[in-house]
Amino acid sequence: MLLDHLHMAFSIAMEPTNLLMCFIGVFLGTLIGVLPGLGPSATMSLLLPITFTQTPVQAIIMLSGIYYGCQYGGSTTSILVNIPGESSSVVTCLDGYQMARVGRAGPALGIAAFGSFIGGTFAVVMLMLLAPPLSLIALKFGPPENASIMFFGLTMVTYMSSGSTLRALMMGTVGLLLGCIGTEVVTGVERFNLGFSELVDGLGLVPVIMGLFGIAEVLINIEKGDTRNFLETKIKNLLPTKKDWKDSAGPIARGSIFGFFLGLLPGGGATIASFISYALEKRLSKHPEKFGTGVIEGVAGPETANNAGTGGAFIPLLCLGIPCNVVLAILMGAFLIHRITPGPLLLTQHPEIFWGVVGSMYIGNIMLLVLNLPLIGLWVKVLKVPYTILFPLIFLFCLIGGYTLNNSVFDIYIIIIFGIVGYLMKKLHYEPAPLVLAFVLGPMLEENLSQSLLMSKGSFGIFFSRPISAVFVALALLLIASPLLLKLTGKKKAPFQGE
Amino acid sequence: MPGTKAYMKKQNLIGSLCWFVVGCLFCVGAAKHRLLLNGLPGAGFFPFVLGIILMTLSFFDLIFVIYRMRKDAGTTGEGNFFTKPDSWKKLSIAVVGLLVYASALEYLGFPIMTFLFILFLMRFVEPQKWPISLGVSAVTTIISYVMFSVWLKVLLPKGILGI
Repeated sequence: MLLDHLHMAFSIAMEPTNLLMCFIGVFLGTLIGVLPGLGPSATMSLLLPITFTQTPVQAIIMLSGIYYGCQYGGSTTSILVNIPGESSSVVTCLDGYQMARVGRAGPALGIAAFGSFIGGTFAVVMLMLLAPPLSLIALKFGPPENASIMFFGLTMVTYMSSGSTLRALMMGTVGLLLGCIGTEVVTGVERFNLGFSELVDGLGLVPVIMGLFGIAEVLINIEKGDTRNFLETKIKNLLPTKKDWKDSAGPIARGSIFGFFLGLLPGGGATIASFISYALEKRLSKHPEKFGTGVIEGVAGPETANNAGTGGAFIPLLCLGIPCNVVLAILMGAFLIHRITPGPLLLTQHPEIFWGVVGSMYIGNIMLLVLNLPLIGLWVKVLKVPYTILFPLIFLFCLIGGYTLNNSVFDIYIIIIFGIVGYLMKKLHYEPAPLVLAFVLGPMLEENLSQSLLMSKGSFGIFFSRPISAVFVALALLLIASPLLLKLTGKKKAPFQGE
Repeated sequence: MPGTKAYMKKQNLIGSLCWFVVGCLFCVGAAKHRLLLNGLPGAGFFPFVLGIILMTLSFFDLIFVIYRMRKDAGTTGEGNFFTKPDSWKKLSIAVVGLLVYASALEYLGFPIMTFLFILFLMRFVEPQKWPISLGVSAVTTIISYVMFSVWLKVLLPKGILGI
């Protein structure tokens, strides 16, 4: 059975157009991972309109490639410029940059690439093994279970935010409200469209994300100015030495396992995995005082974990239909645009998509290893492109990408409005990630909520009388109350950065 | 930056108030639809409840901000919202550029508007020399036109000149 699945996976992934899409995805992912200021969220939303001309398999392969590809690219800027290309590469700055300062940029980049490859491959194997049985269990879920899992997922994401939990909850609520704009699914009533016919189908996901993550990010960078200090060092000896491998073996193994399971959690993914891996390696090390001075374990562990976490994060999306971070929420948007609903039925109704993505992830990880080591010189050159030249291009691609959705200037105005709102949100520490996740899940949550209440004739008790639903609702309520409980016990929440 | 903490508190106050108003507006909008229909949630139920939740959360946020403002009163001076003194100018220029692009795109057409847009940003936001600005604008316009119109076959606005 497993061999049959593997055969299907590779036969789909090895089709020439799918291979090309995989390559484009991982290449672009690495490129945007290298370039600070443009994350996977904005890039995926920029490329969403382009996927309209592709088949669903090609689109999902390319967009997935961007997601795990950018984890590779993010380490390059962390090590060479001390500025993380992605939030999941923040901890790599701590030791990676210090290694570069003493002329060990090559081994740092090399072990980051190899660790990423091993972590990513481990995650794909686990995805392949765990997804089918998990999907079978999820088939037994009804509307109450779906609603409660989504509620738990949303709560988890707000809890995992780096700033104020109260504000993250506010943004989650705003996202749910934005999802109410348009025609209500159950009754067909038009809500909050303010007389605009363009809003009858609701706010588009792409313009909202492009505004919040693309335009807003550029506005923030225009305000701050380009402060990159590039370390002028010769990059040599990319292949780690025997000692480097010996020191990195444990961190890589632990990073793979912990990273994958942390990626499974709603609100989890690459960033949390990398932070926890670093903390774990420091705790387990015989010389924890050396962390932060340039130890290879401080690079190997987090870089492995962030790629393993990326793979793990696919499981809730593909098997349960719950994106556990904003990037996968965008990927879910891509599924929905192609009229495919990710979840337990994906494996039975569209096995070619699931196994095609799994197969392409194997191949994509190999491509990334090949891309990242020999092309380090190219990425270094890309890093030196002034932001003053990059930002107009980012603006342009955001605006035109939005226009191409419906050939309507209305979408461009939505992008600009959300760009300004996103800028103000960042300045005042309101996180956009819970907003976007809630915006994607909101309509489905409302639909499942309505169906559940129809089943129970209006009683909310259905969410507590069904065991699985009751567990998730209880966990969600516990999470909401946890900041207060922690305050009462005198403990503080550990900050994590969002995707 | 001296005084930034105090100034940001005022901005936070405005922010909390804004979200409170947003919650109110959604409640008012939701109330126009049926909240309950034969004992079951109507079209207005979900957004109405969410509006109440947002109002409640932003009210608590407001209380928290006021508490911190009173706690920090007298300990910090005035400051700037923006990172650098000229940031607001650059941001204003960028936003104006974006709005003008959106307004004039269908009138002037994609190639002309894109060229002018990139040129405007490169000359006035982070001023570059004319040769670089003109060069980047021209190359970007051509590449983006080829990419969207020729390769992806997207219908881009042709404008008054028909190109």
